Amino acid sequence: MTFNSHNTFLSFIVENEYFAINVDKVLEVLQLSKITRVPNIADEIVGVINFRGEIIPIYEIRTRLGLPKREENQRYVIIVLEILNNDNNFIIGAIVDRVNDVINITDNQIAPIPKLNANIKEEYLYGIFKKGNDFIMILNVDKFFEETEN
Amino acid sequence: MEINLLQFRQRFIEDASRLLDQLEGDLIKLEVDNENQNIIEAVFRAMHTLKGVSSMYGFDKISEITHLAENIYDKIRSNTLKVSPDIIQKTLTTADYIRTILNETADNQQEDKDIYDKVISSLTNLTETEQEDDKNENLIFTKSNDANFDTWKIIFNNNETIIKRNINLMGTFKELFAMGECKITQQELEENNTTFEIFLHTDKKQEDIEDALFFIIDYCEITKLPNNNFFMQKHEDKQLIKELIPEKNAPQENIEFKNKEIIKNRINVDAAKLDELMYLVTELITTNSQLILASKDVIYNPLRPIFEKIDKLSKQFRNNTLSLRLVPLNELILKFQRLVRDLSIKLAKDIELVTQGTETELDKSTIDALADPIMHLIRNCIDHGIETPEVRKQNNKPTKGIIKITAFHSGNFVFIQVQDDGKGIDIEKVRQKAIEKKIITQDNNLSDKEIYELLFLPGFSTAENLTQLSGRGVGMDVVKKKITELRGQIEISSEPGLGTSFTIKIHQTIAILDTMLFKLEDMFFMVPLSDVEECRIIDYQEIEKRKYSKTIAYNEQLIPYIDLYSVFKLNYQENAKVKLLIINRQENIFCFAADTIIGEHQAVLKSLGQAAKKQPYIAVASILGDGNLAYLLDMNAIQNLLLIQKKS
Repeated sequence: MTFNSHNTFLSFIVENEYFAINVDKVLEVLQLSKITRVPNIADEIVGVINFRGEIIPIYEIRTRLGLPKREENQRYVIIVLEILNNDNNFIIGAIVDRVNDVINITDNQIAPIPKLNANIKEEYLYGIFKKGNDFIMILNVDKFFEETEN
Repeated sequence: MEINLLQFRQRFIEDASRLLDQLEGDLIKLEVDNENQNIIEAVFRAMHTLKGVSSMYGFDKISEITHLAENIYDKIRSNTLKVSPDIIQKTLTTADYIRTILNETADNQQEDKDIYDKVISSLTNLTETEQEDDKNENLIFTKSNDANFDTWKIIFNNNETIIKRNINLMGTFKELFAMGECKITQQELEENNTTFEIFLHTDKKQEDIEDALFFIIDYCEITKLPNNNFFMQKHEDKQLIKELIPEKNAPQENIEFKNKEIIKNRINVDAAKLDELMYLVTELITTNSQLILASKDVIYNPLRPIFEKIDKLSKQFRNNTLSLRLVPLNELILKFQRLVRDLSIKLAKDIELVTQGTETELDKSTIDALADPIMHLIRNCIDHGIETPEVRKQNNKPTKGIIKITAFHSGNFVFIQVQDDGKGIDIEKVRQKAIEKKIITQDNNLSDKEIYELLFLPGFSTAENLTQLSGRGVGMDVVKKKITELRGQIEISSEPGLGTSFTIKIHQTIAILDTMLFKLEDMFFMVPLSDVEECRIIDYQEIEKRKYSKTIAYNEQLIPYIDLYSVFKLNYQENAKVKLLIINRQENIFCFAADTIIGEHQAVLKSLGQAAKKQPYIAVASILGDGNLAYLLDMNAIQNLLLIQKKS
């Protein structure tokens, strides 16, 4: 079996849950980046950062997933993603608790999406991958951040 | 191959459009000064270049038309034909048509055929009116069999390497075409190559040809044809024989041609590459300020002199790069010459467009964005400003009206003035109209300036006889909007009977701005330095006292106070002393408070894009030396808050 980037995923953790994003979408993982808040904007955008000379918005994944708010001093990392929306590419940052590892998943290892709690819309996911005792939810980031772009 | 050819085509279209602009300008000059040999030469050469290159890219129609036009100007320059208004008009129509072909899409081909025939026949008529000229033809033709003239065959193999090396083919061939008469055919040999067969009839030596083809010589094969009369033998048709008429003053002309090229020693660069360079420079500037900031922590730092040198160099580098994007206003003016000419004929007015200081440079994107607003202002001058010759005579004015475009620098700004010497704006009429439209009331006492401002309101037009001209397209409100988008300002002044003047004030470049930096809570904000009248500290009670009228006493008058804290939903830290920024925008004075006023900051502006979508008051930001971001307040949006305040 050969691996290429199409089935390589970056897994990360938010509130003890495992998620994964296709590495094709990931530009960089930033730690200790200072987020500048923008006054008076949508709740989901926490602020902006300077990424390679461009100012990009930072989204709180928790808000979208309906998870509890991050505590003041809780550590976080920013995954910088290039997402496709209405045929345009946007660069955004997503806040997660921590990144886990890079995993290879073949198509036949991806299980269909089970009936989920209302907080996670089905269309946000590609499927589920079972890794040992953990279940990893594979995010469809283009869809996941779609509405926020409107 | 398809794609490669397309790339070339695009390049050709850009070059040809520029050439057409130039051509139109020349034609309009020629209309006045119709014996000017230099201009005739220029027109001839433009047609000549267009002819040659268009055939290379498969624009056969253009090459046929320009061929006819070239013949006409060839006759003019050899004094067998005189410049007439008819010729000028027809050449202008031809130029228009060429433009249409350049922008042509497949679906308007049919309609196009009719115009094409019309253009061809009108041009042919022009050449054929001079029948006796044809008699000379054989005579002249024999001259071209002169021993000095040879026919060369150049096979040029156009392949990918040339595209990669970004060679300007148009420039290269222009030089070649200037040597003599050319005939080009295109052959597609294989998938990845296009071959052009170029036949050149010239008195130049092989070395000269090789010189002209210097950049692409590796892809060319040059052979001398044994038969001197190549053109005549192969093509019997009359037009082509005419092509062989040797240029009477050919050597002299060539020298002049070369000189011109030296003066205009320009390189066409892909705009995307310039943008990339701009990006790198702004990054360098930001990194540089970080470096300077970091080096300040160390008391004795042997590296500091080096840092300072880097600082100086990068600032020079930045200024230099910014200047690369600057182009003179001239390019824009050429288009207007044509507009003024056409419109004044249409309206039976006698109008001249004069310009001053149009070598003033502005950012290319700004110039492009200014084209429409200025166009509309000129239209306004022609349509509403300048009177008909009869009326002008009655008023003891010269019958010829003048529209003057003046451009000049002042500080970081460029001023562009569009003036006419027409009847001026009737203030009373504007006032009445505004009352009629319920914008103001009878007892509103407005200054002249405020009344002029009314003209920029959407849907406001004083012209009862809205003509087809200024009725179409953009209105004055759109002019204002466009200029505001460029962070510029526009003002009207007018003298009844003497004329009207529109003044546009605009930043030379829009990527970098001098700003005043201040802080609200932990966030940095900026306002354009040019908008700041003064910073001062007042007692908190001053604000508290007039908290319901939202005003502050300033220089013996009350000015509006805008509460940025509530605009941005922030908390104001109560303090005995308040730091106040007094803003003055076109005599609109207002103020707001800040936690800290930091000082001047030269901002490299970056779009906030998605992040500021729901935020109407900020759209761009700048990265500060320490990596922090500062937001630039959209002063128009802020100022508009005052209107809302007034209403509520």
